[in-house]
This record gives sequence, structure tokens and C-alpha cells, in this order.
Amino acid sequence: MEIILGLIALLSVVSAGRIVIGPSMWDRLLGFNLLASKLMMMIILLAAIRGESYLLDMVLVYSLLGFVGVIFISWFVQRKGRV
Amino acid sequence: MRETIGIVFMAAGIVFLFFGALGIYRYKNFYARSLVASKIDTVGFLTLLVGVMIHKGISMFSLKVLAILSLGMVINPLVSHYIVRSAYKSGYHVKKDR
Amino acid sequence: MLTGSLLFSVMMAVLAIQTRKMRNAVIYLCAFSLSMSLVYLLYHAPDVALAEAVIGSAISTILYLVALQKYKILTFFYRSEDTEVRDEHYQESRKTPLIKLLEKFSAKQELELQIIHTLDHYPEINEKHPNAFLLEEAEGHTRIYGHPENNLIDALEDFLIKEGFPKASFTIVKVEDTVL
Repeated sequence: MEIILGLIALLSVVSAGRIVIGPSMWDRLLGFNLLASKLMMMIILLAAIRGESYLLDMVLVYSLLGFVGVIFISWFVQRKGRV
Repeated sequence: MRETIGIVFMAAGIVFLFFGALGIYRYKNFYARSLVASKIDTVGFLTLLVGVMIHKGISMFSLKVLAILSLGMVINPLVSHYIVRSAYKSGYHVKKDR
Repeated sequence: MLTGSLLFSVMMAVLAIQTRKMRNAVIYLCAFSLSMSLVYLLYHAPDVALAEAVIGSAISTILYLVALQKYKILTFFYRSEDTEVRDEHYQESRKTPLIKLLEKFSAKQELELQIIHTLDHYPEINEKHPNAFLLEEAEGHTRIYGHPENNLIDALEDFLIKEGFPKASFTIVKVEDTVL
């Protein structure tokens, strides 16, 4: 199970490469979306390894509130810089 | 036995996630990349969390993971759809494949 | 894993400072706060990690973008003749001298430059996005389309001539509404 956690950490670094090299604005947002979902998986696996179920509350709150930032940035770009 | 089945499911999820990470470098077009990022990543998320639920058996932990799973399956494609909609409405058009 | 996430957050912080475009810096800061919340979690402080994840990715993004709306955006649509819009095409077009001059121009006018690759022609663009320009490249010649009531187009012409961009290689086309 630790091996799977390490592999997901490696894949999250790979998908963060899209944030750095992405030519357009939306490529960066796509990479950020991938990174956020991989971070949620990492915390769930960490909670399963340690047997601490209170870490799952953090993932629950993050999945409820984490998408607000991405949706707000793409809305901002679509309206050409007006909120 | 149950834990072995859980590990197998998690390994299948890792395979899906690997193909998703490969796809965002393989394709040279934004809309093709967004397809990979929305679909394959959601399938990997689903498979990995089902693996964790099988590994832990019926408990309070699995119930919380199920809540996260049902939320993530709604929210992840929604965010991808919103990003692509923003790109299309801003006038980022590419040539269609024949 | 702790070392890796610390290194990743340092990399994101350096990128957020180094980049010229403000909206990319907001995304880098989002990724930075995501990585920092993992670091807090590995230091056995899940309550701080919860606060960092919520505040860093949701609230501070909205605050930064509300601050950034003071900073107007200059939109250039880029169209070259019937090529597919791919990544290599994107990277090549970023290095041309005209794009570098446009970046200098937008920095001088205190605007933020945004270049979008497209396949549309000028009438469709002018209908949906007023105040935007269209760059069209064909056989080494560049056409810049713009609306004549937009006062930036005269400033752009003066700037390009003053910076020594060869006058034979570009034309500025002012399209009236009645022609369309």
C-alpha cells in the first residue's frame, strides 16, 4: 500500500508538469485539477495506512470547497477580466 | 483474501492514472487533453477508492470514503466541463478532425 | 514524501514570483497552497492543513482575482493560414519578434497581453469580442485587424514604426461596421 502511495506521489509530480509548461491559461487549470484530485487520493491512502479516520474529514471539506477556485478563475477568464 | 482483492483494485486504479498522466503529454491539442483529464482521471479515482473500501471492509471508514467518492464523481467532470466551456467561449478554436 | 512536497512548494513559489503574467501567478499560488497543506498534514497538524486548504485555494484566489480586475486585458487573436492549432505551433509563435514587441507595448500601456489561437475570421471575432485585435500571418506578411473607434490601434501603429519593425512586413486594416 505504501508502494501505491509513492506511485501516486510520482504521478502527481508528472501531472504538475502541465501547470509549468502549459501554453495557454486553460492547460494550467487542467493540470491544477488533476493535481487536486491526486492530492485527495494521497490523503485517503495516508488515512488508510495510518488508520486515522479524521483525515477523511479534511478530504470531504476539500472536495466540497476546492473546486470553487478553479471555477472562479475560468469564469474570470471567460468574462475578460471582470468579476 | 479481502485485502488482496483491495490491493488488486488499487493497482488497477494506478494503471488508469498512469494512462491519464501519459495522455496529457501524448496529445498536442487542448481539447484532446481535456478529454483525457476528465474521463480517465475520474475512472482512476473511482477504482482506487473502491479498492480502499474493499480493503477496509464494512466500517465507518468505508462510509466516509463512499461519501467522498459520490462527491468526487459529480464534481470532477463538472470542473473539467467548466474549463473547456470557458476556453470555447473565449474563442479558442481548433481545426476539427476528419 | 515530505522532502518532495517541500521541494515542490519551493518550486511553485519561485515560479509565482518569476512569471510576468499575473493570472498565471494566481494558479501557481493555488498549487503552492495545495502542496503546503500536504506538508502540514505530514507534520501531524490536520487542523492547520484543513484551514490552509480551504483558505488558500478558495478564498485567497477570489481575493486575488477581485484585485486583478483593475488590470485591463488586451486580447489578440492569432490566426495563421489553415494550420492546426498544436503545441509546437504555440511555442514557435511565442518567439517571433512581433509578439515580443506586443508584450513590450502592453507593458507600456499597463495592460495584460493575452494571445488566443483561433481559426475564425474577423467578422465573427468582432461580433463576439469587441475591442479585440486579430493577427493574421500569411507568407511572411502580417495583417492586424482592428476597429477604427478603438484608440489603441493608432498607438500600436506608432509604436511599431518607432521600434523599427520593418514597415513593409505588416499592414494595419481598420474594418468599419458598415463594410461587414
